[in-house]
Amino acid sequence: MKSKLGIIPATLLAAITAVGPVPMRASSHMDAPLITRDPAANTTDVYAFVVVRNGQKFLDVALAVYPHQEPGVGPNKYNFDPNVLYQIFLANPTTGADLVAYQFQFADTFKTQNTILQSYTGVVATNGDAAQNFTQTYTVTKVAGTASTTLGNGTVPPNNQGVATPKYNKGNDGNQPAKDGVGEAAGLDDYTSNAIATLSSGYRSFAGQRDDAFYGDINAIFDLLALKSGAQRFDSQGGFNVHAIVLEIPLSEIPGGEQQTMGVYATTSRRATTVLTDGAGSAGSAPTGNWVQVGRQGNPLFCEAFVALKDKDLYNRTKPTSDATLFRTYAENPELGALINALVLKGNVAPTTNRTDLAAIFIPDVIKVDLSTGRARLAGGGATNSVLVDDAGYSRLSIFGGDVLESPVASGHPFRLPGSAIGADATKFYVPGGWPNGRRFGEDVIDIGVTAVISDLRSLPLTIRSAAGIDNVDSNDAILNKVFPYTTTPHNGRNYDHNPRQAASPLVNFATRGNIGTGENILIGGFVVRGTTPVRVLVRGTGPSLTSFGVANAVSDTIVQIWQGSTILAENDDWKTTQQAAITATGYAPLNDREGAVLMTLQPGAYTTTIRGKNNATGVGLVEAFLVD
Amino acid sequence: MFGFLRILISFAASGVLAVAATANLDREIVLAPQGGATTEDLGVTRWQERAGARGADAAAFAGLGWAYIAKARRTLDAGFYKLAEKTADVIAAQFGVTVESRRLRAHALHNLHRFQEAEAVARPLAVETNAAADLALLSDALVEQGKIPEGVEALQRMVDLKPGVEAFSRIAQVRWLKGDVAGATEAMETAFRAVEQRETETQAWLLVRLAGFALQRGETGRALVLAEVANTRLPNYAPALLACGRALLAEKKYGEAIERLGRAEALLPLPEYQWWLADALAAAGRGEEAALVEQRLMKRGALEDPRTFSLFLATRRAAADVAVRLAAAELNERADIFSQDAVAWALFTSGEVAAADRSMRLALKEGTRDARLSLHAAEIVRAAGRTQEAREHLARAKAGMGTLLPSERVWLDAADRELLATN
Repeated sequence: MKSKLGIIPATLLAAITAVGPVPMRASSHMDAPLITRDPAANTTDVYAFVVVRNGQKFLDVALAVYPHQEPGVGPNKYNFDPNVLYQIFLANPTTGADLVAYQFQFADTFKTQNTILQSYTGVVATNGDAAQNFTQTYTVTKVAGTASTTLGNGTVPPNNQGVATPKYNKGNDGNQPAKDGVGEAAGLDDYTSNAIATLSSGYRSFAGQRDDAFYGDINAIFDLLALKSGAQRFDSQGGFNVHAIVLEIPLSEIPGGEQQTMGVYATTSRRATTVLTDGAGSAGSAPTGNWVQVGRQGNPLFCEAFVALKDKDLYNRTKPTSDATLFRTYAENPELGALINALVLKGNVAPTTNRTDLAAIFIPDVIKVDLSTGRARLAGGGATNSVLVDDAGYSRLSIFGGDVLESPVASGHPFRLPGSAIGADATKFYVPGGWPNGRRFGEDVIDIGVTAVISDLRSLPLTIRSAAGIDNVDSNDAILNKVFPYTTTPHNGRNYDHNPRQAASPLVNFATRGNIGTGENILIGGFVVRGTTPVRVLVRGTGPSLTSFGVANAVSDTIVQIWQGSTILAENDDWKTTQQAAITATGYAPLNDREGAVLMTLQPGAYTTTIRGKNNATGVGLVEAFLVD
Repeated sequence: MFGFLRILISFAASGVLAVAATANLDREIVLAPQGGATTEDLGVTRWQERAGARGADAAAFAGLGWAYIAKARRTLDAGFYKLAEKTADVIAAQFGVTVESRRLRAHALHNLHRFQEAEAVARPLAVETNAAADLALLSDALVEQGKIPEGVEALQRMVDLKPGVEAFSRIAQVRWLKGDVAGATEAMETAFRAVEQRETETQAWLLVRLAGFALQRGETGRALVLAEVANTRLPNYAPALLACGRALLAEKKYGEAIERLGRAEALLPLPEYQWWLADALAAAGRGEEAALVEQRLMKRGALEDPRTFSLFLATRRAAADVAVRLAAAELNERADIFSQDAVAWALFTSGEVAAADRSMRLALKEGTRDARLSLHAAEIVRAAGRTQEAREHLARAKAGMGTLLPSERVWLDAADRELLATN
């Protein structure tokens, strides 16, 4: 008996012996793996948002696959799979029926196979040069009904290995971390820039390795929602790469144009094959059977957090047209809501039945994008990032952070709301600035999703219960590009960190934008100082300086206050009046002298901040808090 | 009347208690700490914590069961398959029989070589769920029992539902079984292309199979590279070390081969491993060491792997009755071509040529390209007086010569010379 059952308590030895001897067996011939992951066909995220470039309007869509790529692992096997058909669909947002499919098919080329250096034989100066031994190319095909049109071809840039791929990294140095995102196309690294393919009919595409733009503490969420805080909080995707396909579609190419809402989803398929070819002794052949869908992705979180385990395979192999029949119940009666009630909120806060509001988002499971809006505001590195600021008004929380877009026509978007419902111009209609109106890179889909689940959006007035910061991971680990292909530089295999921006910060910087009225209609925000150590926090009330970011109707003068419970701790009208030197030294000084700011040391605990207009001034304001040290 | 009822109630109650006691014991067994620090060990520990927590649900125990499966695959220790089966028992006792408990049980039974029981669980499960995983289980159980057409049908349904690593690796095995080595290689390469970089055990498993196919095609250098890569992906993986050793032996690098085979046998002292090591030692002129290894093989071979042990005994012309008995018993559990070959070879070496010939026809019916099978067939049909047929079998054996033991290669050469001499 050679079974090595490890450490077993003595009291159980007799019981195990009674089970009978377990001889070691030679493996059977059919001991093939039963359950494995299929990373190259594993769809992780789909994005869709409206872009305006050179006065022309586009719908930019993206599909990320192959999650959790450890940067630099060799031999570098992270690639698109030529045996997988990647498709991004435009679909009817109500029925889920396909309107147009964009197909991406990849092919591999090795310059030489007489080497163990699979990917690079030297430093790659330009994409596909002699030093890039392994190169992938791809073809983009548009399929609408029975019509199939080849839009063009592209080349996949190298993965970010390090010394072999210096231009991805700061200072063009392979030993440095990956470059931050940029705001202008001219600032893109050479590999990325040169991999942007100009296709026919005004399309552009990119396909290659990128930073995983999803962030969140997935571990804690699936660990009985035992959410972590302080030093323990963890971005499960931090420091990992994915492979991403990004396509820019001229709205002129979309049937019906911009006066509508469009559905977007993506699938991956592998070819089936005949198990036995033509009998014994036949030569093998590559799979040539029908494409079989093995992965599907629409809205974030739906398959992962709503669909029960027993139906996940079914979800992955079916089309959105079946969602109303097969999966509506998961949206309308979300187990997630019941779990949050039981494990986090300790009460029946989230409605858990008849969630027609969630069904409107998830059924059919296509991302619904209102094409009639102006361009989507985009994330950069944060509201105060010195490298690349977010677009003014951008919020990682989308509509729950006050980020909305005017919807000028009755586009059919399920969350097209009158201005009166969100404290905006009552004569106009608005849709969320991001998910669930499209989805942009950088959005905190966990916080948005959980907020939606615990809120009640079924009728006006909306009942909003904020879940902002619920998993304590509130930003991507890399700064996003604000130009095509938006998703950012892949992490460097020689220099990366799996949790760099989440390290033990006791307070997450936050910003809430909204309308400031008179009386009690002031703008209120809140934050929590975690842990046991006091921290210095700067709170500022931004108003007039918003005008320079294109915000109309910004409040002209602000007064900011910090409260703990019903006790006011500090107040300031114009920031230069009392703490000018100290605030300037923080690097977060307001941009306008009429804006209030307070710098103070706070003990761990919960705080509220308010921003009001001086002399009853009204308009749009922004309340922000920053951890200073 | 009342006394009779009381007795009945008493029996019933004691029965309930017995069931409850068994269920509790099973629960304690599967939750008993295992220790260890490998990824698989940590997986077991994590799921044990969840399953042992107050209010744990069936999913937590299912997770534990699959963690035991992962541990079994990594260590090749069948005891962990037994624990997976026990975990399925616990789920059934505590939560009722679920799809997941049945799937877990079928997988464990299959790997414990209880193929008929595995089929009995997998068949209704596959009908009920039509899920790719259950069709795979059914196909596996059927193929192992030699029910190839039905197994292929289930596999085809699986492939049509979910083409992926699980499907293509099985396609490869079935194609190889049907003699289509090129098709098998292509399917296994497709599977390897799709596998997750972090699933090192699956990668190593696929690479070892690819190494075997390469060896069969006579590409010993490629076989060695593939086996070495498997060894790198998953260090101390006994099948990879065995594959390295076999490729090195094919290149007559005895010293290096013995080093790899010795490590493989130390990790996994199964008859197959011991036979390869002993044969390599003997070929290198280290007879005394070979004898020691064979002593170990003789001591536990019948229990650990009766089919291989039967082949070993028959090849050594030792204990023919034992060889026949072990092979025949194996046939009852899995009537596949390799069990038929074991029966044929044992019968032949015990002098029953006609019966051996009948069994060998069954062993050859799928057209499998396997050098040992062909070598056995050549000997049997030659003894049956069919010289030309024997030459054809020998030619096939020579084509896959790299997969044979050194002693079998010597025997093959001798048989070839003898057949030439009969011209």
